[in-house]
Amino acid sequence: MTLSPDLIHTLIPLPVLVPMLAAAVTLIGGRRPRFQRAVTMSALVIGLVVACLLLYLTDRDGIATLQVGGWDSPIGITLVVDQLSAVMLVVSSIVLLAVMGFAVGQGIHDGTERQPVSIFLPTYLALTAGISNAFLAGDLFNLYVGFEVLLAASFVLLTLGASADRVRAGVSYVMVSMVSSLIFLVGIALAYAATGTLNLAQMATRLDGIPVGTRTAVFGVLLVAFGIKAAVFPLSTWLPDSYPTAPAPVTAVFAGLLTKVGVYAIIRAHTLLFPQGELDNVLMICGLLTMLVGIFGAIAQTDIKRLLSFTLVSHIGYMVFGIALSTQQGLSGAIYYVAHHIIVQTALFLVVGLIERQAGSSSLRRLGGLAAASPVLALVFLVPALNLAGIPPFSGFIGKVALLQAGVAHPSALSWVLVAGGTVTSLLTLYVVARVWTKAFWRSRADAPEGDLADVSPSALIDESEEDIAFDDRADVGRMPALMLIPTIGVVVVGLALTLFAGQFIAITDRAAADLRDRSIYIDAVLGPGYAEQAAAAGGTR
Amino acid sequence: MSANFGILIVVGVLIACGVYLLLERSITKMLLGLLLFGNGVNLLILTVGGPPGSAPIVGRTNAVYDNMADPLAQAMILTAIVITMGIAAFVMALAYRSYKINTKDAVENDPEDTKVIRRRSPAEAPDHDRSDDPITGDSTFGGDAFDDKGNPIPLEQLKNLEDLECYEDLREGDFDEFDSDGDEPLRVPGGDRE
Repeated sequence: MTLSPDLIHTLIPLPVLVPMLAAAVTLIGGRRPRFQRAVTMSALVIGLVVACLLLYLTDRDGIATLQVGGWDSPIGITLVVDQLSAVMLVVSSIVLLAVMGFAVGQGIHDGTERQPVSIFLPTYLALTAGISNAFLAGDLFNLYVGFEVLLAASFVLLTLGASADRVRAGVSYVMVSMVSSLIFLVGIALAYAATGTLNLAQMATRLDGIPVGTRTAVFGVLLVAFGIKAAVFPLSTWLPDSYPTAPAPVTAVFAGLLTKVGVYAIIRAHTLLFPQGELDNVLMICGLLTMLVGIFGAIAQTDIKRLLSFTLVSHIGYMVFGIALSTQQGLSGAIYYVAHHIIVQTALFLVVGLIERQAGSSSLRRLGGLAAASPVLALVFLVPALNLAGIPPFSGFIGKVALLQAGVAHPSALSWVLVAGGTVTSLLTLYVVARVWTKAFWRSRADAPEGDLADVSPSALIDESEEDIAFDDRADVGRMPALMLIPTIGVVVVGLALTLFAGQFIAITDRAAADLRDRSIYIDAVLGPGYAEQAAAAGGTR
Repeated sequence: MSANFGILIVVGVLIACGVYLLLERSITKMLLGLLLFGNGVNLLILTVGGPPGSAPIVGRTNAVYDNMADPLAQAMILTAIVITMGIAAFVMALAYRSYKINTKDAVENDPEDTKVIRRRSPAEAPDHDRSDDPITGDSTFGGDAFDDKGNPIPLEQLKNLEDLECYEDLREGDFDEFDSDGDEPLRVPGGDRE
């Protein structure tokens, strides 16, 4: 069966429209949990199918655009899908579907009488729509709106149940996110003042003509905004404070996706708007510090969720490194690493959700003996953990090798420092996950310093762990529900598939990187054939 | 393009005040800071939209201005105002909730951070075992008192004296050991000795 190239114009808006409509429907049907679940599940499955089709079609036919409302760009709002957007959409759809399955599974199994389920699923769908909109946005302001939609949804998800801890974490998260959004708005205002347009393609052609200093200043402001969202080092301290307090499935999806939306925005801005690379050295140093400071933070942590949040920050550094190299190899490696990291971090946070439910804690001072208690749990932890650390043959190894090769091929001395930093970070990550493994899985619980304490019975969405109880008094939670275990295993298996099909996938990321580095493809696709050349000619005569 | 310097100064003052207020601990002050910051940015967008002009409606002319004002800047400001308003409502709800829980309107430090800062002895390190030496943090033979499944090895099967001593030290805490399935408590042999 061959798919018609025109199909893609129908498909482009669906990743935004379907979840948004489904959010409205689930909000109306708030009193019918089964109806809500069915709608959410079908919306996310449709999203996954559409994303896969988009990836197939963009990889076959190249970039595609949709002028919303029939207004031609640069006047109208443009949605653009290229290989990068499509890859991000596919990976995010997989993660969103799996995490939804996990959350619903826990809710069904452990009871939802006091849980805010009626608000959880609509908000989750709004988050989905925001993420997809950010990936598809073809103009800077639409990207801002996508960010705001996903942020507003994430505020609600982070403070579900509004316990003391979550309110504290929520306030700092909201404030930091809003400051980053306002800085983004400042960046938009400056870019608009400099170029007189918001359309990314048109802005790209016009930015070539403005003075280097102005252009770098605009890029700097945008980079600060995206850097806060992506948690790049000096701007990353909010993340480990806020993510771990959220419910386990919410943390999983935040850790997997939200920072990567920031990384996506950096890639887009760096390749399309500011390819001259004036700030590459700054980005490299930030990437190095992100890697090292993040992983040193992880070493100090007792709680597995916080520890994983620090590794999350740390590994953002790899992606920044790949972007800052400004080579096709580096970019391809960064895109592969983004996909790998989304999958593996989500898997790890879902496993922590299972650990919390099973063992009543996520603190290394309390856990022990899990390998004997639940070999399945041990397996689903060990595989993504080794994957994160970059043990061959897992995808983490492939991604890191791709990035390190790109770093070695780069002529500057600084990239060698980053290669060394990346290797050290990888080893320290191995140390960190090995410590979790030996303490939580191998050590006897009797040998854990606070092993006799535990949290009260688990809850999917609200935070009831105000007080500790004796481990012996903890209500038996029973076996792990299949609906929680299957999505977790599913994400782990997708992570393994990134190894198995690494050849094909790297071929896609290579093509994506090549298309990203040739800006005229994007500009011509949005503004009509030949526009890039005309603009270049006009810019030359100015 | 010439920009209105007066408005730019106002923008600067608004954003500076906003940042100052955002650095406070009180949620209400932070919210006010956010609003000031937001208004400053909105004014900035208005300024970058170009000189003032008549209302951007095609066919409508104005005696004062020859040109239309830039409608795109106004559209952006409207969107930004709506978003800021929604978030402000959410922050107010958070402030109220925080007041209900803590009877004060302030953001606390992250307790986990405080714990990490206050660590003084190796016994508080994240990789500490109960059987480790509490002062030096070194491993002891105490961990050997458990078999490879994490179950305690019965007292009579312990081979050397160090294991035995550490085993007794560990048992002092009257620790009810679970068996590997976590089903029922397993009485520790020798754990009930006087």
